[in-house]
Amino acid sequence: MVAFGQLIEQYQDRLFNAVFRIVGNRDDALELTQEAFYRALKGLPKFRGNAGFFTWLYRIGMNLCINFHRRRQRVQITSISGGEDRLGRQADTLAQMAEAEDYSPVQQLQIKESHNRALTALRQLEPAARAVVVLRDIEELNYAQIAEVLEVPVGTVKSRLARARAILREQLQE
Amino acid sequence: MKAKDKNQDLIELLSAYLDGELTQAQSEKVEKRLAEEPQTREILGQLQKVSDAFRQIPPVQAPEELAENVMGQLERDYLLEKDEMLTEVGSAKPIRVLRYLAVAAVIAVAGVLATILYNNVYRPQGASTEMVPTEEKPLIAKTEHKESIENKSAVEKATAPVIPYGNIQLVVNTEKVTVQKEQLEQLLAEMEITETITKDISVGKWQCDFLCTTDQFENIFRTLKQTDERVDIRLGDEQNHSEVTIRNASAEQARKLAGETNPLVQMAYALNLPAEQIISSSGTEDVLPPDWLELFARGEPEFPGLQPLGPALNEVPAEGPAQPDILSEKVAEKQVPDSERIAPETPTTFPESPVWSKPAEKVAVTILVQEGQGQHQSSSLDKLKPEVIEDDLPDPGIESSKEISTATLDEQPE
Repeated sequence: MVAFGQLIEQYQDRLFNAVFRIVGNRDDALELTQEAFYRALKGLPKFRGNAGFFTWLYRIGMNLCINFHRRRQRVQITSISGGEDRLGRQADTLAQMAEAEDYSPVQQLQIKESHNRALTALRQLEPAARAVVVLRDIEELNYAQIAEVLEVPVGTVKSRLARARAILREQLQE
Repeated sequence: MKAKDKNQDLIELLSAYLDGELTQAQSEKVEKRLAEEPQTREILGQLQKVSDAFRQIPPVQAPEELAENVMGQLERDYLLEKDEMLTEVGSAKPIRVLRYLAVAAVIAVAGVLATILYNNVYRPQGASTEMVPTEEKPLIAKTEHKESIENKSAVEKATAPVIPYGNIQLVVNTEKVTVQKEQLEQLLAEMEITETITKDISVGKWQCDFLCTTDQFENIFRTLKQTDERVDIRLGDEQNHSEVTIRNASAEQARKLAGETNPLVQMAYALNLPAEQIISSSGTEDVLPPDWLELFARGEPEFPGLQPLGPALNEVPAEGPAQPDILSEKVAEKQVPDSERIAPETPTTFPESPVWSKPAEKVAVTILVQEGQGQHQSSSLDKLKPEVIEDDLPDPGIESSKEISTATLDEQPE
């Protein structure tokens, strides 16, 4: 139990942050992160330790996120406002954080706008592309680590990330 | 179309350049193009902005309830699984099989955790994470399975083991024990341990599973010993169908021995070792002999798949008090006349060890209580190899040794 507790404590913030950025909703992120930890710890006997626990945990987390979005896409195909609501809540959270860091009101607005635009653009991407961007630009994993987490070749990571950035570049330029 | 593909190729190249994922030669080529082509520089700048936009978003912290929820779910699962196992009372064998499977899983989990903790928590250098073990010099004493002990000297003190999903059985012998079911129930009630799974497993035998903190575990242990210091408490080693009988040992001695003979505790023990002493048994649960830790500590033999992540335990130079060699002591002990083997007033000194100094966490405990007087009814959960008793009970003058012998010989592992 001590060991489990240590592992959760060690990785919960990082995984939650990554999941939150992908799903864009705090409640969903909490649920998915919990599920990832639960599955990772329950599945420890199958884990052979070839990859690090971090990779194992992230792999589960990212798969949950991608599958979650696939389900959501099917279910919420007409629920555009729901998506906006989630995004709004995420942006509000960011704004609260900005306030907490003593930015001026103008700066807070700019930060909120900047983050909002980035997150809006991110949400336009396919979940798999979104995961690559989050793992690279938010989690700052290198290509090899991302490839290991997503179980794809490094070349795929490279091209998927480039395509995602090309789309984001166009979105953020508009 | 072709121009678009070309542009995509350029973006892919610049994207990888931005991330430092190109070779030296590739990077030099890109830099040459950047120096010569303003448009390439512009695209790189835009990609940089995209990347920066996400990097500047501050991270969010996980909600406080996350860890609690996960641990709660795991604990509930554990209790449910235990309950399911205990309800399979059609015959002893299925329960036994389930129990061994559960123990195997636990050992696998513990082994994997040892590796993970080594890689993520205890690795001293070059690791991505920086947690450092509390102190060091645990007491890894090489120990012999299937033996009873008395009056051990230089056996270090260890607090209650922290076992991820383990269970410990305290099988209390009928003839000597005064701790009965009601007494244990009262004890648990006093400790506010309400989530218990109890089961009458055979005539006069009652089993109680519960989760408790290490402190509570210690208290229970102490109470059992205080009730009658001569009480024989056997700590089950389910994997081997064997148990260790601790005769007239102090609570500290009992705990110490348990820490060396119960595979679950051994692995929990390993989890608390300094980095250089961590052993991984990941993936080896199917091939390892039951006494693998002891054999491995001696450096013999090599088991396929067993990964030493540091020197063998007995090769790690000890700092401070010498590591006790229980095997040697045991040999010496056998040459001591019986008259000198009665427990002294202050039988042992226990060097303080930081090994179990971690904060209390919940451990899963199974307690078997034997009720009533008379013939011991052995069960699949209550076994001791015959040679253990014949060879290792050194003092036939103590009444309870006969009782234990009788009790534990009436059913052998299949």
